[in-house]
Amino acid sequence: MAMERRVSEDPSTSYDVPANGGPIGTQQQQAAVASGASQGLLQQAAIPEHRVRKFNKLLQEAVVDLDALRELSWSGVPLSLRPQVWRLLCGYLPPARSRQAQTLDRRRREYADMVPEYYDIPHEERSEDEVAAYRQVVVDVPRTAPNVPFFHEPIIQESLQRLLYIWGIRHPASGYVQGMNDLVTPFLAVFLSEHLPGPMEGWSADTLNESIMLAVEADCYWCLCKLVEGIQDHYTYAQPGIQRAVFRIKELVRRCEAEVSDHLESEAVDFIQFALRWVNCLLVRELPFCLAIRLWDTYLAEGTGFSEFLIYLSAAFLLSWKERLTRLEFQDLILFLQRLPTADWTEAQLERVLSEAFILRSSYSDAQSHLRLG
Amino acid sequence: MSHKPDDDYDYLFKVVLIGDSGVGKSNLLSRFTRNEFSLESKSTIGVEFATRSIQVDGKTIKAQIWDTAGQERYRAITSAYYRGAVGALLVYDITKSVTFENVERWLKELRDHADSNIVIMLVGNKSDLKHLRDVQTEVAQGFCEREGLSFIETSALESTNVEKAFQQILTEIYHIVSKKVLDSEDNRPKIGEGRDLIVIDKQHDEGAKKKGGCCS
Ligand SMILES: Nc1nc2c(ncn2[C@@H]2O[C@H](COP(=O)(O)OP(=O)(O)OP(=O)(O)O)[C@@H](O)[C@H]2O)c(=O)[nH]1
Ligand SMILES: [Mg+2]
Repeated sequence: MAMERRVSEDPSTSYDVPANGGPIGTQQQQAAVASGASQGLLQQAAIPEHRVRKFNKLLQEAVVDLDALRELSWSGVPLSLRPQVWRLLCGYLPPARSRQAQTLDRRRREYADMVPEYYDIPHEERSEDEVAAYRQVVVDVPRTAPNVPFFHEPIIQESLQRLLYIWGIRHPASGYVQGMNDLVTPFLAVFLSEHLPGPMEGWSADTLNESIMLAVEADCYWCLCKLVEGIQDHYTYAQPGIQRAVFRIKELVRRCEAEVSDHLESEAVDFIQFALRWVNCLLVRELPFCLAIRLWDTYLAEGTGFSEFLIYLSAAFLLSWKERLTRLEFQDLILFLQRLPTADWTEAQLERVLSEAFILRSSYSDAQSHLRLG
Repeated sequence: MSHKPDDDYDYLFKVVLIGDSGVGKSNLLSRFTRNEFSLESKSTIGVEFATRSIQVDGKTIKAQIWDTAGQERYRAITSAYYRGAVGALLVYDITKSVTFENVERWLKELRDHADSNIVIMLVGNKSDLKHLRDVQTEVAQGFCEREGLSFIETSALESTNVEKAFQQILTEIYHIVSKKVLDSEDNRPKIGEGRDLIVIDKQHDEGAKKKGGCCS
């Protein structure tokens, strides 16, 4: 895999060049360079200029080299380039630039056509299951990312409701499952950032019209489809994919930190008690929102293998508190694990865990260990 | 043996919160354990846990409460938590009759997965939304009489009856348990330190089990 070398080659501590100083010549959103967003919901640590240049170079090729883009994106995508890069990494946009505008147009129209077909219909025409799904989405949308006020603007709420409902109807094997609302939020913030300048805290819904919103919604919809594609069995009956993932996290922790795993076991703490949510919501719930977006860079760079990476990431995440964990007893363990103190985590802290996960994978993934020889 | 003050309890009872999504289970729990309410709480994924101790008849009862996800999809996983629970608060939303209609299904869940003598209390939450009421108190009351459940209406928002609901179910459990203990007085292991410790949830309190007896 192309990204195997990333961690050792590019130490994440070399953030010394301001990201937004240089010329960022993309095709599209110069304006979206949120230069003021050094703190806040869409905040980002400065990305070295040479990395930004590499991104721009890749994106300007006639056919974008996706492997190279993945490798580069693994360690973080510059704020202003995220919308475009994410669409590419999701496979939503084709790598051939000449076909991109047309594809985007077509996909957005396809989505727009689904709205009257599935959503704008009288309640009586919905099946019993559909009514139940609708009800669930309506209950969850207002409870989505409570700490991101912009998501609670009526136009955004409506949009979330539509896209989650339609997603559920179009994916009957699982349907809408609680927590999927969390998975949309990074896409939503990033695709909105193309239309709303400056830091997220200053965004105003007044400047969004229906057609812009519908395009953003369509992008979110298709990218959510791609993201969940490889983890459908996380959300089907009895959630076998999650149960398997949680089991593997537990096994991995046992192999690399027996002390932690012994302690949890002796306190009768079961991994499912905390790691279910981690896997179900891909750790979004455990991190401040700006870091969830950064996490998405890595997931999308991982591509279809991201759910495998999530195992290593979850183990690394857990072990980042290992000293603390081994001192706590059952009750305090559970309370601690369900509300981990990550509120003031910085990007650097998340990146440390990502690197740890990367190393864990290199050391413990039997299938991949031979690659390290190369 | 020394105990931390908040660990100083006579009885430990495991209680589960169940019911449809959005009825207010998590807010009932946060109101009871932390006196907090949030209009925009997040949905529960899987289970969440909290504890609080209260006094009943001069005894300290520690409630270990497991709040479960309401969506059906999580039921396969959450029903495992019913095991060992001595009480269940089955919550519906008085403004949404469908959540009351589903109570039957939840009772079946309990029959299938919980101990047969679990104490169940039906809780009609959101009583503050009077103008939106969709389930009449008498209807729910009648249902509970037929089914042999206790019943209360609460508002997690206004903090009405929340304390009372928990107090009532824990008291009920206590009376059953203490009676059981008296009945089997002679077989009971002798307990030191004058502590009358009953651990219902054996699995989760190894330490306490060693200190005291176990009733179930
Ligand atoms: N008016 C009013 N609203 C309430 C009350 N209790 C909860 N709510 C609101 O109802 C919504 C759902 O509450 P939660 O506590 O998250 O519901 P839940 O039963 O835990 O839902 P799941 O976790 O999805 O199973 C939130 O917006 C709460 O603010 C209440 O007593 N009165
Ligand atoms: Mg809840």
